[in-house]
Amino acid sequence: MSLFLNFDLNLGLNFGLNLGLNIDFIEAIRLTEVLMGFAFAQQSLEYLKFAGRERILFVVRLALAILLVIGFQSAWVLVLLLLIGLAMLHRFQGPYNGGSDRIGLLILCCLCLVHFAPTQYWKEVAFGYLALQTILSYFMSGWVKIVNTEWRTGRALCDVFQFSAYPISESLRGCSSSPRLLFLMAWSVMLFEMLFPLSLFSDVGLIIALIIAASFHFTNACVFGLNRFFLIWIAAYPSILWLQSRVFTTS
Amino acid sequence: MLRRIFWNPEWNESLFLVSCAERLMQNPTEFSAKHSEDEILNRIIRDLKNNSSILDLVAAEYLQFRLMFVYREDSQLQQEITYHSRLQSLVVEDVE
Repeated sequence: MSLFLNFDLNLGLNFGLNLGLNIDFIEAIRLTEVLMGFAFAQQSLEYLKFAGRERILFVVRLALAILLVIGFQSAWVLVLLLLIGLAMLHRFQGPYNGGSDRIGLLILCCLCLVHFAPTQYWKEVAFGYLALQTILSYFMSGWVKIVNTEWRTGRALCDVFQFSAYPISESLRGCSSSPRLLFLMAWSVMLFEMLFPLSLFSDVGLIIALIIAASFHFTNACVFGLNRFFLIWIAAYPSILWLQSRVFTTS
Repeated sequence: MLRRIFWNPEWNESLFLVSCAERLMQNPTEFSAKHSEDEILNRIIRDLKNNSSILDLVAAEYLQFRLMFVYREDSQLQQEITYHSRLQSLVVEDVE
């Protein structure tokens, strides 16, 4: 019977209003699971469109993602999802979708550690690690760009629009003829990414930073087709919100 | 455009092909190189099969792909063909 107790009680319908400036540990964990479950379900459906002999892998992954969303035996579902993640790494000889697969595995590992860590201290360490890695993902991305001359001059973004392998529509490729606009865009992205960690020092600042970051991923999804980055990165945001309230909020 | 947020399998396949192409250029092991080459060949064959008009037009028995990298040298764009795949028979169902 206990298997069914947390079936829909944990669906997280109260998360939306509670997201504000303080999110407690349990809520943050559950919200991360729900968001990651949606992201994995979406990925699995996309995989199934073209899957061959490995179809069963993605059918199981889809089923597990749904179980994760509804909160059924989350700890063991996470372990199984991690095993499937490793099988996918073997199948594709690395990540299928680059960074989005990597952060998906990072979230999975951290959530598994949270569920199986022996004490609350180590659970919080594992979840805090996820938050720090997510924050660093923005900072390092900005750092790599800002030390690159091509990015500082705006040429890198111009080249991305002009002839990159990303599936950009022909009308958007026309943006490459607006170097001043791309220069501004490049510096906006670099400065935002570099300054992202500072948002931890302010409740409101963090909310604004996360909204901007989500909008950034949303734009990348629309323009460059990077839809998986949008969904999975948002799944890591509750950990940052929790870390901020855990470390920087004294009240 | 909003639909792409939730459903974009073709583009994600394209991105994976880019990953495979990049892996081929990074001095992979023999196993890894074969895997990347197979992945690219399989997807080209699948596209050819799904678009019978192209297949009729080409009527080819073998398939070979090449990788062309575009890069900037000073202010000029340069193109370089960096890889030729093996010749793959189109009669075979799937690349093994």
